[in-house]
Amino acid sequence: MRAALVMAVLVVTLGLLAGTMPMQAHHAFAATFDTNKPVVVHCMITKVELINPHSWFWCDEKAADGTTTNWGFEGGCPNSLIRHGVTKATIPVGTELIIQGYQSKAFEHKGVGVNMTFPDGRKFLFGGSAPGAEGEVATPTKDDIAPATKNDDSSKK
Amino acid sequence: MKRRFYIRFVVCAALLTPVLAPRFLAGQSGSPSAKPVPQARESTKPPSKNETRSAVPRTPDGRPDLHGYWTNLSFTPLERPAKYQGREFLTDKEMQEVYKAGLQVTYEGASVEGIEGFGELYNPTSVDYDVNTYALSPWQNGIRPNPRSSLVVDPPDGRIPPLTAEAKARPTRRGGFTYVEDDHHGGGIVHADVPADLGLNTTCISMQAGPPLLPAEYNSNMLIVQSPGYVAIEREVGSEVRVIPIDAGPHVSANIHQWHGDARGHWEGDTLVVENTNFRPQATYRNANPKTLKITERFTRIDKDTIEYKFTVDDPTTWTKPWSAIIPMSRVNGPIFEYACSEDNNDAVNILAGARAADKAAEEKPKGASSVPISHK
Repeated sequence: MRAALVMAVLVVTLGLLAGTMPMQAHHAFAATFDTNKPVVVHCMITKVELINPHSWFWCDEKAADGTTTNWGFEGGCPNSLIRHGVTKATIPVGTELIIQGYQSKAFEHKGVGVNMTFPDGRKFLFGGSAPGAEGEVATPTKDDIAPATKNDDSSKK
Repeated sequence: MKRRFYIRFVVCAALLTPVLAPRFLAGQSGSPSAKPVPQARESTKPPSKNETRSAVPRTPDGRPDLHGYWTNLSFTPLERPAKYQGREFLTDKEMQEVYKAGLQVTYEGASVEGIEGFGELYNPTSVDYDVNTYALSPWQNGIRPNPRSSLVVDPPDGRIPPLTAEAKARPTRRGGFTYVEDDHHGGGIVHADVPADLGLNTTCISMQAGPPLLPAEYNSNMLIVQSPGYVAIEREVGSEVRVIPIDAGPHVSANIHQWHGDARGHWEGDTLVVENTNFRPQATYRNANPKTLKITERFTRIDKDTIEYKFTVDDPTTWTKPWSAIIPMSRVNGPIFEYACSEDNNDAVNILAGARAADKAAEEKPKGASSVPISHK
């Protein structure tokens, strides 16, 4: 019922929303990343860079054979993150996340991080959920940080 | 003694430079003929203590106080959709529906395929991050309902007038930059062969500080600082600052072109009016003619939480008639943060390397193979 109501509102207002709204992304993701290369990486955070115009999240993916691959994922501009109280410590080194995104056209282990979830399925949202939207809100707690990596070397990229 | 005189001289020169420089530059006309120098418009006087004053906050010299942090985010489209033809304003119910739908759409961007108006951030076919994850959605950044059906209010049909034949034939690539077909000084490039292809927006050279001041994709905030002689506007995205001299004389020489044009402000009653000319060819709004474009902005503080921002675009070589839009600026909490982009050096590497990878893939593609799009865009 709720979903139907939401859809009805969307349909009613489609005409208005279909106008030219003067908003646009900073740069073309399509020039950097490849929609033909979706990736899902289960990894542990090793470094968070809050730099403009895009933050970068680095994490280690462990393969079954024990080898480790360091990935870099581009995320949103840090200004809004900082305004919402996010710091470099909000996702502590060692936090286990599943990052869904698309690979870089040029670099095998770089990508854009479309979204992040904890291993138990909870969405990671820096800014909270929308008014009236059914979004789960989650920021890391102590339990979300892998015990084995709590004292990890934070200088590692 | 000499040292003291020297220090005084330097201090005086520093203080007078911003006052005298525009007048000096204005005198450097490219034309040898002695044309009469246009005089600056003089501001109207602020109301005296005995005159009626509206309830808006005021500065010590009696002007409406524009100082503070503001956002101009809006779900309202620039041009009026056909279904609202003939109606500048929505009903309260329609306004709330648009606002709620905007919140929902920007929350669930991936479910609104085909809604062009929300741009690349909400385009599910683009390779993009979920803006909600990173606190970049309008609902996370102070957007408020707007009772208008379009931002354009003049012509009365809410639509931008047709382009002139000259404007239609104008190239969109100027001075090595791929200029931009939309409302910003940059835009989403798809492929960059050389750094100049990255454009002004991607390299953060000239972003969204206007004029005109339009909703930015994120960090659509402004800090306005006001004094009797100058008003400064800092846009958070790009950290660009426009310094607007008040009653400062004529514009600089027609030979001088600046990323954000040359601004001259004056007060008309309680409205700050800013006339902007002298734009750079690579950064001229909507590919207008930098020699003939004039953008006039009007800032009117209408209540404690709102500045009504109106801009008029006048360029007879580009549009068949002038047109105007109104965008409410809503008060938000500060501070704003520096947007230190460093010419986007990270992305420059990734984008240019991406182009090389695409080139290589195209060379290796067997002859006769079907064309696979590199991206959706």
